Amino acid sequence: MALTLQVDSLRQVTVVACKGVIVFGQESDCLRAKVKELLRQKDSSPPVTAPSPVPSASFVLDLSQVQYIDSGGLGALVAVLTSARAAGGDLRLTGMNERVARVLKTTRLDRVFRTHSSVEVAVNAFHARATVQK
Amino acid sequence: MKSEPASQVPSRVLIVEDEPSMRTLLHKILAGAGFTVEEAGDGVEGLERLTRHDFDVVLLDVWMPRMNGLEVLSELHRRGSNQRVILMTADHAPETLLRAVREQASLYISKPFSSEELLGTIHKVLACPVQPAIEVLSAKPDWVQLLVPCQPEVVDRIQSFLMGLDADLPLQIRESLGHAFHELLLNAIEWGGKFDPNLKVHVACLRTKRMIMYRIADPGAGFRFDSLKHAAVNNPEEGSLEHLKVREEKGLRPGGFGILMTRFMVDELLYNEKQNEVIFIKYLD
Repeated sequence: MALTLQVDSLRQVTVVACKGVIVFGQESDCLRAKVKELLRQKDSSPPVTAPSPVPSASFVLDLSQVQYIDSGGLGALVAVLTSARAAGGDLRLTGMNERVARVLKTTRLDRVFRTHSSVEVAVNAFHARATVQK
Repeated sequence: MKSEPASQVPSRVLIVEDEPSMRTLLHKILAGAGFTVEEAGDGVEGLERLTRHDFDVVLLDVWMPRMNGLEVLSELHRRGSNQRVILMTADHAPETLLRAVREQASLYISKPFSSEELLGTIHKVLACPVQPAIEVLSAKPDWVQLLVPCQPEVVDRIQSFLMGLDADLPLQIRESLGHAFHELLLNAIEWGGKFDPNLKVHVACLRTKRMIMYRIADPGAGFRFDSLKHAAVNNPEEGSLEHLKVREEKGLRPGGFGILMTRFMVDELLYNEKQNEVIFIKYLD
C-alpha cells in the first residue's frame, strides 16, 4: 500500500498525517477505516474530568507528504468529512501541495473543505470556533 | 504517536544488477525494510537463482553483461512463469519499455529512484497476488495498442509503462496525461467492465509531433451524460457534493470526480455515441 498514516493529538484535536498517495483501492479504504476506528474509540473512551473545548470528532488531515489524490481519494476525503460532521465535529486540511490543491479546485471541493497553511493554524481554528460558539 | 503498521512484508526479493555498488545499496534498503534479500550479478546468475528458489519479487536491471534484463524477462515468459518482476532502468527508449510490457514485466521504475519510490513500487506489486496479463497489439513507439483485463491492478502497471514513453515531455504534461489516463482507465474497468477479469479494455496511445492521443474503449453498454447523476460532472455550480446523495442511495462508494478532474487535465475529451469509448488529447505546442 502506498499510504501510511500517523495519528497524533494536539490540544484535543486528532491530527492524521498522511504520507504517500490517496488513491482508489487500499489507500482510500485505509484512510476511511482509520477515521472510523478513531471515531469509535472516542465514542467508547471514558469521560474526561475537564470537558474538551472542541468537539471530540475534530480532525486535521495533514497532507504535506501526500503527492497525489485521485477521484477515489477525493471520495475518501469527503467520506471522512461526512463522518466527522455526523459525529458533531469537523475535518480541516493542511499542507496541500500545488497538485493536490489543483485537484480540489477543479472539482470545486475547495468550497467544501476548510483548508489551512499548517496543522497549528488548523488546530487554532478549531479552538477559535469553539470559543465563538460558547 | 501511533504509527500505522507496515503493509505485508514479503519473504524474498532477488536483486539482479551488475553494478556492485547499486546492488549493495538496494540490499541495504530492502533488508532495512524487513525483506529477505538475495543478489545476482547478471541475467544468467539471476535465472539460475530463479530456477532453484522462489522469490516474491525480482528487481531486474536492464543492461547487464552475459544476459540482459529483457532477455531474462523473455526467458521467464517462455517458461510460462508468473514471476513478478520490477524492471529498473535509466533507459527510457520506447523499444525497451514496450518489450518489457510484451514480456509481462510487473512494473517499471526509472533510475535514479528514492528508497521510498522503490519500497512503494515493491509493495504495489506484492499487493497483487496474480499478475493480470496484458496483450500487446501494437508496440510501435508512436502507436501503442494494448488489450487489458478489467482488473484495477492493471491501471498502475500500464500507467507506469506508458508514462515512461513520455519521459521526454515536461513534468506537468506527463502528470496531466498520467492522471487523466488513470481516471479514465479506472472508469472503463469499473463501469464498463464491472471488474470482470474475463472482459477486456482496448487502450491505444498515439503520438505525433504536436499531440498525444489516448483512446480507451470498454466492453460495457455505454452511458448517457445526463443520466450520470452519481458523477460530480453533473453537479450544479453551487453544489459540489450533490452527486454523493445519489451515490449513497445507490450504495456506491464515495467518489465520482473522475470525469470532472479529467476535463481540466487534457485539451480535448471526446466520447463516442454509445459513450463506451473515450478519446483524450494533449497538445504539445
